[in-house]
Amino acid sequence: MPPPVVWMDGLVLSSIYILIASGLVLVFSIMGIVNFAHGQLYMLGAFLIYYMFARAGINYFVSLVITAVAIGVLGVAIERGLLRPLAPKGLLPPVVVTLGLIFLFEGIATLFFGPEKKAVPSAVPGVSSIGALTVSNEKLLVVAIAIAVMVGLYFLVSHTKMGLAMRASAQDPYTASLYGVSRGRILSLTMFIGCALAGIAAALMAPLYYVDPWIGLTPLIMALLAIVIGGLGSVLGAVVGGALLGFSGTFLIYYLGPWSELAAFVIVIAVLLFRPEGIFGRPKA
Amino acid sequence: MKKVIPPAVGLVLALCFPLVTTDPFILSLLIEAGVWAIAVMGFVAILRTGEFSLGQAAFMAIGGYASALVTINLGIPFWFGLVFAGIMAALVALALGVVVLRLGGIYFAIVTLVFGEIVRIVALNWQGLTRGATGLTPSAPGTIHIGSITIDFIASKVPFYYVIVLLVLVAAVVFWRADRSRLGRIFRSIASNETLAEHMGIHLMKYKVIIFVIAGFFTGIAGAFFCHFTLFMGPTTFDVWDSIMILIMGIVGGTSSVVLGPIIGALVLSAGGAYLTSALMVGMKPLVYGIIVIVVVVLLPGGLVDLGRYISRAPRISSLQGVKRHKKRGN
Amino acid sequence: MAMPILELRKLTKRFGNLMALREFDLDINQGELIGVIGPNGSGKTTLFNLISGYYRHFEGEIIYGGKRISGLRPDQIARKGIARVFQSYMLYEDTSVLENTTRCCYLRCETNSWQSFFNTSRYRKEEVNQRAEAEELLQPVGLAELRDSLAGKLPYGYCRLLGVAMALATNPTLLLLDEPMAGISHDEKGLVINLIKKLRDQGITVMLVEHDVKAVVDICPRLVVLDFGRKIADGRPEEVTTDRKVIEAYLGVEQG
Repeated sequence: MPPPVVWMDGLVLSSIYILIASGLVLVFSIMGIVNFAHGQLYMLGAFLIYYMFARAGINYFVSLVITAVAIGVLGVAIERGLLRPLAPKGLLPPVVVTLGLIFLFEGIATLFFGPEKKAVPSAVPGVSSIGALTVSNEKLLVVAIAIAVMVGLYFLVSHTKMGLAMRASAQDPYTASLYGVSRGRILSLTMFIGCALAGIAAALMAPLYYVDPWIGLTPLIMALLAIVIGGLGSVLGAVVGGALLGFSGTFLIYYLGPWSELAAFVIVIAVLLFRPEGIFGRPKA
Repeated sequence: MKKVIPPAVGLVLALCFPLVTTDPFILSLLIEAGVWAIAVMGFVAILRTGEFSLGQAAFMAIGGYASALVTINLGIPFWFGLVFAGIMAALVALALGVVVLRLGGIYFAIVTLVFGEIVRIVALNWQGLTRGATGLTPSAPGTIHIGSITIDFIASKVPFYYVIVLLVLVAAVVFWRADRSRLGRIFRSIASNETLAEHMGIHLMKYKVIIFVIAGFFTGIAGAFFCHFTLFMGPTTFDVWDSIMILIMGIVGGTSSVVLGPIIGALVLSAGGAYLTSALMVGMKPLVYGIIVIVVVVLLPGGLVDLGRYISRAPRISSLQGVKRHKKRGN
Repeated sequence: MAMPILELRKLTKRFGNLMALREFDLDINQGELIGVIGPNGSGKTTLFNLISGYYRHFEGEIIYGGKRISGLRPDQIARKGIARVFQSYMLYEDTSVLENTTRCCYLRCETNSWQSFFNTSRYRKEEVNQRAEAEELLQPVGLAELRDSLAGKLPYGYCRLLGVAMALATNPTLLLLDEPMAGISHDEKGLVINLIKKLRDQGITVMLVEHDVKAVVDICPRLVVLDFGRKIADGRPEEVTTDRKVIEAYLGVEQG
């Protein structure tokens, strides 16, 4: 059994993976494409937090909200300006565009923000004690906000009219449109929420790690693995997949050192081999 | 016979190029472009069966390490190193393909992308074999004496240039023949309608694995050649970013042909990209690449190879057409 | 009586709680022409999906030519001589009618991939022959003149006809025809009926799923009726069409 500190780190890492993976899978479930630029939106969000909170001295929570909204709006711009016009040409063109955006955003970040690593100070310095366990306030904040956001997302999707419209549009866009659900608005809304989640994850993670133009790759890969484990298409699957990877990642680092990342991939390949449709996916006929 | 003339002219031009200039910088640009051209041909050949591989650079890395390791540790000559690299990459492609091509579609894209990361992590952490981040320093091919002629790979870039021209030629002939033969018809059938192809007796896995392995073989050789050319092989020599670059070159060049599009894409982007990194600020290259691929997808879906037809207003064939729209089977 | 060529044993297919096919038994003899009818959703297409291997997870057993084929992949089943014409729009839309047919000649190929790769004379000869065979296949379905048209632009009825030609390109011994006469004109219907009769004369076993009961009664000496996934009748057309269960389940509804 790993010590409680490792459990706490697993919880933090899981929170981040879950936020990023659920944004990715939300967009996938409505649009049918994987937004490979999702990790880069996370990276841009981290830079926003750096400039607003660490450099301009704006209040952390205000910065967090602005980051989420800004990244969400950027996502909507991508969806409206690039992905939607390409949608009639099949699945591949929009996917290629999201891959192109990876390079585009990397270039923008390197040119304008610089390639060197940047540190973001802690938003809530100090430590708290929970029983015998001493945890930094920063980590508690990450977990608390992530849980609050996920609960909020759950209520939005399952208990509001908007959420109903989203689920309907995910299941059958055509029939949903007959019942007055505007496909265009649902697409934008989903993209906004999905990308805002990446922005929130970036804002939470920036004080714990560093910021540079290449930090988007690992979260993207872990989120992709999480949604593959979860079965591509259900937010619940992304949550379970994210938690599985977050905890297994930290536990394995504790036991295996640097080889742990590899072990996580092996788990995923094993899941795919024995249950190709993922844990929550529907089996093929 | 008419169809043989343009490629023959291209080959003659390529062979005569060192007569125009032997400037090491320019030759290096072309040599690198040749390396990428081989990898891009592999990517495009796979894409033309309807599968989207985001891990092609991983096969370059496997080939690079395979050749670097056997040439350094066992003293095997460069030439056998190349072949060994191709075989190793092909074997890994076989193992990966058998597992992952079953899933297909977006799963295949994701797992191949992740596979690139796996290779990087193994290379970084298997210190005893790969020397981790320090990397390996494979050497250039030994000097060859044929009678009174001496071919020295260290004094000049020209011998490397001719080797890569030869490798590109061999890869091009293989991919072209595969596309022209019955295999090509089968690949097009699979890309166009998997369910139908399967019901007409085509074993989907067999043919998808075949092209994945062939692509892996040549991509591994390209990676091996590159590391002997630059004299370095490390975990980030070929990583996920390079896999995405291969994809961008393929799309920009155009995927309606297996050979011409990849060569054009690699020449334009690899040589142009090297210019961007040498002449301008860091970060300019990815920015420009990103913009180029988006512009091509939006405005010129057939890629650069389609530019001529576009200008002459002849009917266009979208290079992205024919790739399956929905992968889910069964209802 | 001869040994049946196709034996279906207790075929059951579930979709969640829905039983699309339940405990379906059927023996078909070599050279037989058998019609399968039933109301919408009675399991006719599901039956074909099981035989052709489109669905691989189901209960029961399918035996073809004395060998078990249930659980095999569609391409393995096609190789054993079972060809299927799909009900839905199933073509290589991005290429010509002739190329569609040629692509389906895959199972006729005698040269292997290597011979094809090295462009040997045997391969080249086979290519020429195959093209001629493909053109010949288009003749009886009346598509010879449209051989260079883009398959994706064909009118619906022609797509069905092309589907038949493509299935025949695999040299089948058992042909599964899924509503070949839906949405086609009267003349084309005559074409299809003649073609089916010709196939029967050639000794090809044909299973015909059809909505047009009259056409099936006219040409099929044996009918099987499905309702809610169950076989409710099996016999000569005059027996079946007068069966009370059949009239209730199917004909009764149609006649009001």
